[in-house]
Amino acid sequence: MSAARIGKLEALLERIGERRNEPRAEAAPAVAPQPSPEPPSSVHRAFSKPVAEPSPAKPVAEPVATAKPSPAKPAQPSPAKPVPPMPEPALELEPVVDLVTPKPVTPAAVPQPPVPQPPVPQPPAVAPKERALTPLEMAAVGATEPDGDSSPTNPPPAMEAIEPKTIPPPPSTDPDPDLVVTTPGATKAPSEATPIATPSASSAGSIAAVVSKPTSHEITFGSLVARSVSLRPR
Amino acid sequence: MTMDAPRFDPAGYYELDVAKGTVRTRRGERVIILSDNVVTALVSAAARSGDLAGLRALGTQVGTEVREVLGDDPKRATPEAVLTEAAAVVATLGLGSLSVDRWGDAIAVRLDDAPELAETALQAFLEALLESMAGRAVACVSAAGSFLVVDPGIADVVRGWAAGGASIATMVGRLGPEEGAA
Repeated sequence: MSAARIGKLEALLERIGERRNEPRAEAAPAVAPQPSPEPPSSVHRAFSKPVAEPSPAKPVAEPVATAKPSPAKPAQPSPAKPVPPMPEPALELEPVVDLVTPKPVTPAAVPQPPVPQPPVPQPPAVAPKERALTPLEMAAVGATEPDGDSSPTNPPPAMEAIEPKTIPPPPSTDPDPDLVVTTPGATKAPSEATPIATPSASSAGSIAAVVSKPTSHEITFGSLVARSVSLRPR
Repeated sequence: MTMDAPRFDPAGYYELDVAKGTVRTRRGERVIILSDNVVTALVSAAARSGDLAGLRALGTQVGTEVREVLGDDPKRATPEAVLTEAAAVVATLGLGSLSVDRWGDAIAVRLDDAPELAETALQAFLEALLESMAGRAVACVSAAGSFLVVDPGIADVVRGWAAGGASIATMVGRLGPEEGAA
């Protein structure tokens, strides 16, 4: 082979070589500012390949090992950034929201069932109750007996206690019979009274006469207290 | 004289305001609900120191309430009307069951199921209650669970009898009309 041929071949090879280098030369301005002396990391490499492939402008260009992802595609998510899974938690929160839904159920919104009011027992009617005095005591008090029970014309049974007198409860002015009925002990009947002296059974017959005296109805509360306060030691 | 006994309504006696945390009576007086243990301790301490003003104030308060409810001077009302209203208020306050016994001319007040307060405390309460309702000074002498109502001027004498163990009947037997004593 002549030297001239060899020279042509070399020139041809050089041209071919120049052609091969053409893409690098064109892309150089974009990549050139950052000469990458180091090989890309494995991560880069893994993602750089598909990026380099779709480049339609250089179908022929072989993927160069040193090729970097084209900076012309910044829109591509950086493969180096692992993106955390995103909106799924919102779905998981839904049941929680459901659990909170009792919000509309407020005490004000829920109609309360009417609480049945039990019948309120009325307080007892209180009336002064006369207590029994022994004959000895009556001998001392008898002269002052306002009702004249121990007057000579109406003496108590000999050596027997006078039965207690109870002022009758307020009569029919109170229309509610429960006032008396539902309150045991409200107005103590003579039989319930506890006399200090021990009354004999035979004296029970005298109770009616004593109790039936209507004089107690004439007594006012003021006079009742006044009488008691007016007493003095003998 | 009317025999009307005003009907007491215990259901509407208290007004409970949970939002404010207040309890008021029908007259608007604020009350505090306490355990009887607490009240007993407080009253006992006050009674030991001779301070019975609180119990007297309570008695006056009840008496005033009775007067207001009756709408008239309780002195001129029937004993039944006055005592029924007074007993209802006393019971609603949780102070026991009030009743009155007549011993001839004398009367004795009882307060059954009362809190275990000092005797002097109950005495002060009842005195103030009766004074407020009757419009005159009275003294209560305790004996056998009852309080004999006497004139304050002879209270010490009667208390001496009670201290000597005299029963209510005995004490009444030792009392007579003022004219006789004069």
